[in-house]
Amino acid sequence: MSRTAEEAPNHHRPRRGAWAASIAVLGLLLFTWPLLRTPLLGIGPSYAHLLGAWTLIVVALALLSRAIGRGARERDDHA
Amino acid sequence: MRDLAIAAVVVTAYAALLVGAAEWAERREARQRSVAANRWVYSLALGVYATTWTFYGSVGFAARNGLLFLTVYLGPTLCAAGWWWIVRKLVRMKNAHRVTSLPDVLALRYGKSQTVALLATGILVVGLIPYIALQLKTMIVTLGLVANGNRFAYPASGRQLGPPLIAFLLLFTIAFGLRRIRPTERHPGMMFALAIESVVKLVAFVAAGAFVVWGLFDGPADVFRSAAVPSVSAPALLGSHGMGTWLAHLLLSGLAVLLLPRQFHVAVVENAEEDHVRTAMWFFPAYLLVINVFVLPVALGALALRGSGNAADTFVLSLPLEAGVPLLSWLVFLGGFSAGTGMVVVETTALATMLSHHVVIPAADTFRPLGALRRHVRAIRWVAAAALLLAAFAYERGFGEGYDLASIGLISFAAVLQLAPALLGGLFWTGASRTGALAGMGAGFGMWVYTLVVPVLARTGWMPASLLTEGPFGIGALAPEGLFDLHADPVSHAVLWTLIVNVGAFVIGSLLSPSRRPEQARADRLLDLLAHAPAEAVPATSVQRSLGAKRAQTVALFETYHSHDEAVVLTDASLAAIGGGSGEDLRTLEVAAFEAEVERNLAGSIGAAAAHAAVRRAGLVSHEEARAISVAYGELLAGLHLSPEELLRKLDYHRERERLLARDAADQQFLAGVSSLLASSLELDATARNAVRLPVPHLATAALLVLRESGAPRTWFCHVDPERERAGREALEGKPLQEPGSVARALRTGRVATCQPADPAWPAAIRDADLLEVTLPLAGVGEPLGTLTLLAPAESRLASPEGLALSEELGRRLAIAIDNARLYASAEAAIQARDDFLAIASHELKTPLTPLRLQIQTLERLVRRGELDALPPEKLSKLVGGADGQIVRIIGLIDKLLDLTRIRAKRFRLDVGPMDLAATVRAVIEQHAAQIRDAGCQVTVEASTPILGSWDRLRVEQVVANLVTNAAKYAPGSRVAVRVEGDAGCARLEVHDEGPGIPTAAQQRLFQPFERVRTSEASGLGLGLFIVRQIVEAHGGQVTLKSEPGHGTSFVVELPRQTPARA
Repeated sequence: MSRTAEEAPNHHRPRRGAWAASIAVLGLLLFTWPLLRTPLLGIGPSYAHLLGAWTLIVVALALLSRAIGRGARERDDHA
Repeated sequence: MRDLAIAAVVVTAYAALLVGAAEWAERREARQRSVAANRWVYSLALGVYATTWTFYGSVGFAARNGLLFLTVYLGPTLCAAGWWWIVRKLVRMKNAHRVTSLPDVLALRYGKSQTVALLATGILVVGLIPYIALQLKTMIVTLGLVANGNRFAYPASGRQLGPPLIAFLLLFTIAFGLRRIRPTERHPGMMFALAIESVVKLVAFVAAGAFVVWGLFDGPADVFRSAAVPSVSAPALLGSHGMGTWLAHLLLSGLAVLLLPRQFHVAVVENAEEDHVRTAMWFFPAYLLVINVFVLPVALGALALRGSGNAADTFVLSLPLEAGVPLLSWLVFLGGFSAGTGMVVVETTALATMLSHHVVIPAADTFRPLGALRRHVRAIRWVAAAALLLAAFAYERGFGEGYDLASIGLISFAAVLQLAPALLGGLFWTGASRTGALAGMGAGFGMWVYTLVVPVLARTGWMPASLLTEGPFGIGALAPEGLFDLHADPVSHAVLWTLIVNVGAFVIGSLLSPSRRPEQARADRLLDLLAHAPAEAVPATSVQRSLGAKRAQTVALFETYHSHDEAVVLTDASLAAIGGGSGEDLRTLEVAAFEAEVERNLAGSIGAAAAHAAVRRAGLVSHEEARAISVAYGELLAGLHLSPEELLRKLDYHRERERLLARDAADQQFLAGVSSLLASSLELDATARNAVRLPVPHLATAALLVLRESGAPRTWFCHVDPERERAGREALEGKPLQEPGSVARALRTGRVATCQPADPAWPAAIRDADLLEVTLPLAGVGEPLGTLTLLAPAESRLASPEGLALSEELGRRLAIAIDNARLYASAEAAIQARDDFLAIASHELKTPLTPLRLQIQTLERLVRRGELDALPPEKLSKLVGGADGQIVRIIGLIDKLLDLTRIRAKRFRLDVGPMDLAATVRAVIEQHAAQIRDAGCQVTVEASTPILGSWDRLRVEQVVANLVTNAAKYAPGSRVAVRVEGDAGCARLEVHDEGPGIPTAAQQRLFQPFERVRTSEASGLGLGLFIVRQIVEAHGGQVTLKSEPGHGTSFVVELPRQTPARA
């Protein structure tokens, strides 16, 4: 009898959802920081900060994606 | 270069290349060797989000508003974190119900309502026309620039270049997206072409950026330095905008990336496998990051070179053109062209499909004169595509000149935002109702028109300009761009007010007018997509329906929208899906299932809502059949003695039960595999190697098997990551394992030991800080065999009760297998020992027989010759004494064998009586003085005082004789010290020799039967020490051995003065 990935036990889901939310919140904070700090940074440093923060969030998303994939494979093994 | 003909040739060649690639991808798909159903193609195709607005408009936007352009890409990056949950849910909906657009999803969610689908389609079409117009404007402008900047100046160039461009885009759209109608609505060729276009525009933009930064300036620092001089009108951080605008744009873009029809089409409709979403959720933001790296440097560089931001939207192309770099100019043009065509093709395809599904088909179904249109779905889509492109062109002609690219794009984003509450609310809130969705979308769209469209009309003279300053009827608080005196930039203002009224109306409408029962049931089923799939078995009833008639009726229904051949294929597919079609009749409830399947297949062609209406209208299920179905379900309920509510509860119960049974079946399958694998070998090493791999990765990330053995424990390690496994093995081989507390606990208690984090005593290469450790004792016959340690994430199945139970069962089976392997090894060793014994016993028994026979033959010869009397008495005595000595030796061997037999048969008895151990020792040494002397040993005895006790004299003599003769046998030529002493309760005998000693590994083995230290050097059965131990233990004492190679050997016998009664 086969099962879908969702039907298999999945204790990781809430944790990964929390990680996703954390990434979004962290990203929002990083993306708004140059506009909140005083004195304001110049446009060049602000741009550099935003590109760096963007790269960080992309890496975090890649790690989240990897963790989700590993969880899905484990569930497939269960199924 | 600046020649329209060359531009036409370049564009045509590029388009031909894309069409060729798309055709190749389609053929590969047909041969089941898809290149489009690929996670990277999927992720790249999502790059259709980067339109000419990104390619050209972002630079213009940055030149005017600084970093604000980034919100259009940072918003989607933030929202991508939730894609795995949202997009995957939509993909499952698409797979289950063959939805083809966002209005389809909304219609499906809200009771298959055509009104919901129609309103959503209207919002998207009206909202997206400006966005398509934006692409047309850019393509016209850039085509004019590369063809001949002076002859084709915008906006006049639009009259010449617009019509052929529209025709070209229409053909492109039909070729890629609207060539055929297929239920799945997937277009592998289009996806592959989009992926290529994404690569082209990325390469082109990065090349243009690099050219500006390093070709026209000396790097990024030089660009920023040049733009900072007072003569350059460089923008402020966010232009004239503030934090509110930044946040509003982030929200707007984050939601639009899924709601835009082209994005929904690529992300959901074209998705071939839901796991691709996982890759896209990081690759797509990465793509956006790379394509935006040079936007600000290009904008600032152009401002520094020109001093002003005029025509900033075309900086990317005009800079290489003016610098006279033709190759780069053409590459940039093709990049922008890719961005524009990709967007127009997919957006137009999606909108045309929506228009045919939710406007034309329902109209044709409703108004009889339009009925013939139903047979021409493909043509309807083509006409719809043409109408959309013409409308966009008209918009571009009417309003394009007065607005920059970003402004037009953001207006469209705000329009599609109006679908967000209904979509997200519908996906995650079971209380959302059709009324709420209609109210929310309607109110939001109305507010969008008022706050964003009315100002455009007022500024272009279509409405009074005073409306913007004085408000309607002179009420300033109602001014479209300053409602209730809240003033912000137009887009942020519109986002705020549209969301307030939209969400408010949606929630209030849903609460005041909740879903009716059938709509709610459908919504529940839809929202349950991530849970267990319902069983599809159709219960049998006795009422039969004619299959032939039903089939003909269905073919006719499909023929309304398809050709005859396609209709037959779809009908047969629907019958096959319910397992019917082989007999002549359909059972009553099969009719209901068949109707649902037909509706599903039709939805792929005309949309869910229209399909629902068409199937109802076709009367596929007659009133009589509907009644029969109702009666059948009623009978089922009555037979079950259940109310509908109870039935639902029982369904939930049985669904859960089925899930548990399925899980248990999978577990049993796993355990059966375990048993089979473990039974495949009786060799301990092979069993252990197999055993440690069994739980990985089914139950654990890593597993470690520890087996107790004399000396250090043996370990086997397995990890899901081969590198970690190698490191773990090296760590275990590097130094002896210090038994962790968890292992000791499991061995001591015989129960599972769990701890988190894993015990720190494990080598660092094995444990992870956040891993849960479960150590299972492996109980064999007698002592525990060892432990199996499982390491898994704390949230894994291992932490659950059923996971623990499964692992315990695994441990039990593993223990049996290892025990069997050990017992098998013991049996093998016993057989080997028996064979060795037979060989030794034969040899030992034969050894004295040979001289005995020679001596008897000598006597016989003397007697036969009559020489016996002549033999000197001393020689005769020696001859007879020698024979007697051999006989005594044989008797000694046989006595040992008899002792062994008695010990094994538990018939070993002692004849206890008072005796002096010191005297006995001296007597025994005296008896064996000759043997000791022959061996060259010097014996010293310390037994000055009598050591009295109650023992079996003969057996004690046997013990002393064994130990002393062993010393003489194995330590010839050395000194042997015998010491007898005692205290109040115990007597102690120590025999020490200065021989070569006994290796540590052999010391315990020596007390086993048939074991000898060095089998080649001395004779004997290997029973002496075994019998010594049995005799001593029968007296309630113990015998111990101390020896080190090169430092001699000591045997110490301790005997209680009073032998216990049981002896």
